[in-house]
Amino acid sequence: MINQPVIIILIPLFFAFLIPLISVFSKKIIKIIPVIAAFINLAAIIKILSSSSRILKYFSISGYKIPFGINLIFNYQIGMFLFAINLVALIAFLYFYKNEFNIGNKIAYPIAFTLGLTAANGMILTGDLFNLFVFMELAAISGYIISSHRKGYYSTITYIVITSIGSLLFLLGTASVYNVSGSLSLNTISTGLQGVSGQFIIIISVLFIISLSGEAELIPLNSWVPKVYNKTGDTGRIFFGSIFSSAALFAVIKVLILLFQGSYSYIYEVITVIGLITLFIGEVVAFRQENIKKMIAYSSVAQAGLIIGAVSMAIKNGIINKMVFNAAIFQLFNNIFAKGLILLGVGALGAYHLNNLKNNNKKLLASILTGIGVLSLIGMPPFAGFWSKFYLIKALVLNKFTFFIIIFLFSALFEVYYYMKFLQKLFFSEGNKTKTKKDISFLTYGMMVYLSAIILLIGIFPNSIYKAISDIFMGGIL
Amino acid sequence: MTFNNLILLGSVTSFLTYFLSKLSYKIGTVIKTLFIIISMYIIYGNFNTPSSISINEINLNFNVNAFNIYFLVLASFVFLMTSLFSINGIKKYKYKNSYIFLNLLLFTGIIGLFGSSDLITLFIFWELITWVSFFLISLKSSLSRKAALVYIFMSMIGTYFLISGIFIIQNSIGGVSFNLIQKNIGLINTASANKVIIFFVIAAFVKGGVYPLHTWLRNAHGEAPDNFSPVLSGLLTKMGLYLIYFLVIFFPFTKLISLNIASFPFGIIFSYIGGISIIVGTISAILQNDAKKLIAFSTVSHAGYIVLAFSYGTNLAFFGSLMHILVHAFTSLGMFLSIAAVKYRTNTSKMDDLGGLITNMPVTFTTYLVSIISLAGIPPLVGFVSKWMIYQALIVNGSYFLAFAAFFGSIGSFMYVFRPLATVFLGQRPKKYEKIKEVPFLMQLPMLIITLLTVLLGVLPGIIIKPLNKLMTHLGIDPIESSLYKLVTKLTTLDMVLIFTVFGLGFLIALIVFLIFAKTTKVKQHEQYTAGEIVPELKTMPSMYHYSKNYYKPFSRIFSIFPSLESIYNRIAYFTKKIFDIFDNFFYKETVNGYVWIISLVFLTLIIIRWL
Amino acid sequence: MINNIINSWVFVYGPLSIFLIGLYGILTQNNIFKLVISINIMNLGVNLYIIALGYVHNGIAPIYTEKFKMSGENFVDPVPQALVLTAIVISVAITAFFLAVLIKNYEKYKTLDIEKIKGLEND
Repeated sequence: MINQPVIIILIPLFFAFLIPLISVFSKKIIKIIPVIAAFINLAAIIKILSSSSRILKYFSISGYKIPFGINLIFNYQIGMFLFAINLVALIAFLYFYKNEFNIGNKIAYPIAFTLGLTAANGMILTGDLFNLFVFMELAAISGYIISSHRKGYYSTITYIVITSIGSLLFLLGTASVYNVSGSLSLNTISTGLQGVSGQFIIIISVLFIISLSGEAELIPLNSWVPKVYNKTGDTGRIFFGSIFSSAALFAVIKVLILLFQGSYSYIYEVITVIGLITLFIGEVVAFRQENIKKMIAYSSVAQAGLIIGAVSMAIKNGIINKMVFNAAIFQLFNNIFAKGLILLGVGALGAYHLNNLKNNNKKLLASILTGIGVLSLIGMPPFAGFWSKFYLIKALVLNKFTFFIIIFLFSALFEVYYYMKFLQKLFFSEGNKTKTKKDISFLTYGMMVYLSAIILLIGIFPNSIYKAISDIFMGGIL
Repeated sequence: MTFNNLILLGSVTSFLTYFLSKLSYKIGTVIKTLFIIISMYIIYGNFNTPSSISINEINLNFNVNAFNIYFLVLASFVFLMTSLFSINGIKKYKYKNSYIFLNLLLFTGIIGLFGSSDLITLFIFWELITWVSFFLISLKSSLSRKAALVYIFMSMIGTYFLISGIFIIQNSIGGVSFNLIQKNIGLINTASANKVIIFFVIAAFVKGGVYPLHTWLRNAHGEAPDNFSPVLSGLLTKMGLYLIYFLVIFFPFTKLISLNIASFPFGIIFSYIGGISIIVGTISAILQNDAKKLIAFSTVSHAGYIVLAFSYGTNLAFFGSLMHILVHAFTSLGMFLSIAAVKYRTNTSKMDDLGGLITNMPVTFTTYLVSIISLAGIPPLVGFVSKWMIYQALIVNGSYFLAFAAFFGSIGSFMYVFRPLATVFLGQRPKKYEKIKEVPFLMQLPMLIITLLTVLLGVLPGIIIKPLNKLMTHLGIDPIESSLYKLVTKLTTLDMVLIFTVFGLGFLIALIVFLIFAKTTKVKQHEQYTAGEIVPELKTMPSMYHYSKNYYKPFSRIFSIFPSLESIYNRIAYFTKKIFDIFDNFFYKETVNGYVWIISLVFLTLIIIRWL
Repeated sequence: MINNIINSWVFVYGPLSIFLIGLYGILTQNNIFKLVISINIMNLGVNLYIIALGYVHNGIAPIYTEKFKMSGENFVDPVPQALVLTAIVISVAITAFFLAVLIKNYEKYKTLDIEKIKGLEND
């Protein structure tokens, strides 16, 4: 039991439901429970990683044979993603424990965060379509609770309406697929879909594309992103920016590759176009923002568009172009750490609006560490983001995807501009506005240093991480 | 110590100096200077020994050979001079620790860039230098921060073109190290070669500040911290010109080396662009009112000279452009350092408020005077040597427009460099600057060194010509004839010692005449002829009637009808911002119902596209 | 033949039109409470559609007992019914939370009109 990947989902679920029980006895211990949950989960992941292989394997639950029960997929690379997400979750929970526990209902928010971690792990691990629906809904519900952390009620309404539509469309698609192919498990659907009329495939594919873009922050369902990022608390922002968006994006990629298995090239063209439009619009709108939280939200949208556009560009005629695909996955991996660090720094410093940043001489270390996260995201050497952008551009030029490169680099120009403007104001602004943020605790400094160290290490040893995370879906699937 | 260890040591030392400068900034700057001197020694010792930093299968390959030793030595020299100057010069800066740290990191980056022996290493250091110099420019004031943003935006345009070109090369040739490119140059097909040349040249023009892409120079160089402007102008622009140098040797698009792989007449096009850059730079410099922005535009025109001479295609022009790189580094060092010295003592660099500082700061004055004479290309200083070579190359081959442009650059440059001289050093001194002393010795030292070198290399140009000839032979270009003090070209031979003696004698005679016969009359600076009208501003705001205000107003009236490229770029930027606002308003500022409309419309569109 | 037409019209287009009615509600209604109701209507439509998909002609309920040992060939498909049960539970939870947020919104802005709240929110 300990060696099954299902335990990665079970541990946070168990602790989430432990919280209401413990709250009867003592309200103070609740603070530490999410931290314990994330920590044990991290330990379990490391243990399972050490005994896993690099080929995609299906794990069934409760002994049902593969197409008939819920099954999970796991290999070493997926384990690395889980490790990254749980690490950032641990850091977010530590921040919550130290700074934000007393805001809002003391029972509801820890439960929501822990359930959110469960849902994120579940979205990455699952290999079954309906199970993905359930985890997406779980993530959505915990997302609703998290987004109302600091009284952001109107943004929650927008979020609820849009994601409900998305999940309903997903349910429609799943039911139709089940009706035609007779199975709900990702690896057997594609054989069942052969020989179906083209128009049906179009409708199903469009349903999936639209619905999956809801949680993954792609157009057209990403209108909630700036509103929710603006109004939620600091921990909530870390959750949305690093954990939910990356997990949902990974789930989208998984469905795209395993469900359609590379046929029906219309789907991949459409997703490339959606990705490029999201990238372009995300960057140009972020360019005009003065509110830092919204700026980071739009940047997150644009990065999601870039990754999904690159992934779908890499699949043509059923063959995955390894260079482009691995570079995009590497970019997704780096973004988890970079966005986590930036959002942690912004929350700790209280840097919420470009005109309100006072010269932070006393908090210079925190500003520098946030700067490391930003420099990694925009791709400056010697940090991690430089290598992922480098590999991505290399793969794109080698395969002569000219239009994609033009839009990608054009948007990247604006991204460099507004992030550098943010850094300038963070380091050097001279103003008299006073801030009411307390001093940053030693624990927060420690976490920021830890994340920066990871980014620097990936920047110095990029090839090992790149090799460790490449070829996720190889091994007999495509 | 090998070169790769030098790079690693440089990074570590820069961190150390940050922490040591917290005790006293003088310790930091002294350590920085010592490090630069040590690295000059190590660079010499590593000639022709390739080395590399290999971590995790990423190889950063370095090699100091005939191709890049010239640039390395020049880079170290420029940094050494500014570092000596900054031992006292950064006394009044707000962010001293960061300045020293970033400066040393920049130095490591530059010698890594120039010392690299394959294109990927070059690119990594190129990006590192871009963001480190961005932060260095932003240190000073809010105006410099705006200028730094424009700088990094245009610089990233160049960077992205550069990386695309590098990957096209890797695609066609199979590798990116310089040796491999030299061997396998025949493998690349003409279309890709054209693309590579255009991409590299765009990156080079942005960084070097050549005509269409030069608009960031004025503000970035003008508003940067005073101790950093010489490095920006004298060295960072050479990064871009280094790329053109690389292209001329390895991807030849001219008849210089016998292999020409481009099908497009790139050499002629770039020469003309260089010529236009000279003219535009000179004219814009004349119209400036701030001393540092003026020198920034002179960088534009000098970059034009270098591009013109590199693309021209004869070995004389090639030599002229290499020499001109050195000349421009020296002159821009001299001018920026003297203006920084003036600013150190008087806290202003606005030419209208200063005057008569020649008696207070004679060393600064001499440096500035010698630098501007050299800039204008007047013998017997070193500026004359490079310009003479370029003129000869242009005239011998009969390119009349380009020769006109080159002459115009020289003559026009005297118009604009004279103005700071006249307003800052000559004329009458305002009362508040009566008691200003000369700058401290450590700041005078680099200025004296530069003055000495300018004169020495002008009189005895063979000191530079002989090593450059050896370099050119290594690269496969025919060397020019040379001797210690004679400049030999096809048309004529000049004896520099003779010219120097004639000039010297003339100067002495004029000096004697002046001392014996001249009488001076004091004229109030603000004694203006007002045709009998009473002008109250003569008492309240006398600087409005200073004789140097709007010095070149008639000249600027001539050129006011030409559209300035900067305003065109600004209008394009404004227009794109408006369009981006439209995106923002359309997609993200609706009510919930609006969002659902967008979703449904997208859904219907996607289905209908394929259904029909 | 009539059976097929009735099948497709009643079982497929019926629930889909309920879904579209709910979508119309979200597209045009300004009151947040009506948005909640519209989402519920959409849920109803989708659930009906899923159940209808599992229908097998002349099938019986998929209950297997010792007494009536029917073979699996005549069973209506039970998997969609399980899916629908899960979906109903999820939609109940979402509706409950939506209503709670709605109450909080009303306490803050004193109105349930989305246009007015957007104006007040000034985001």
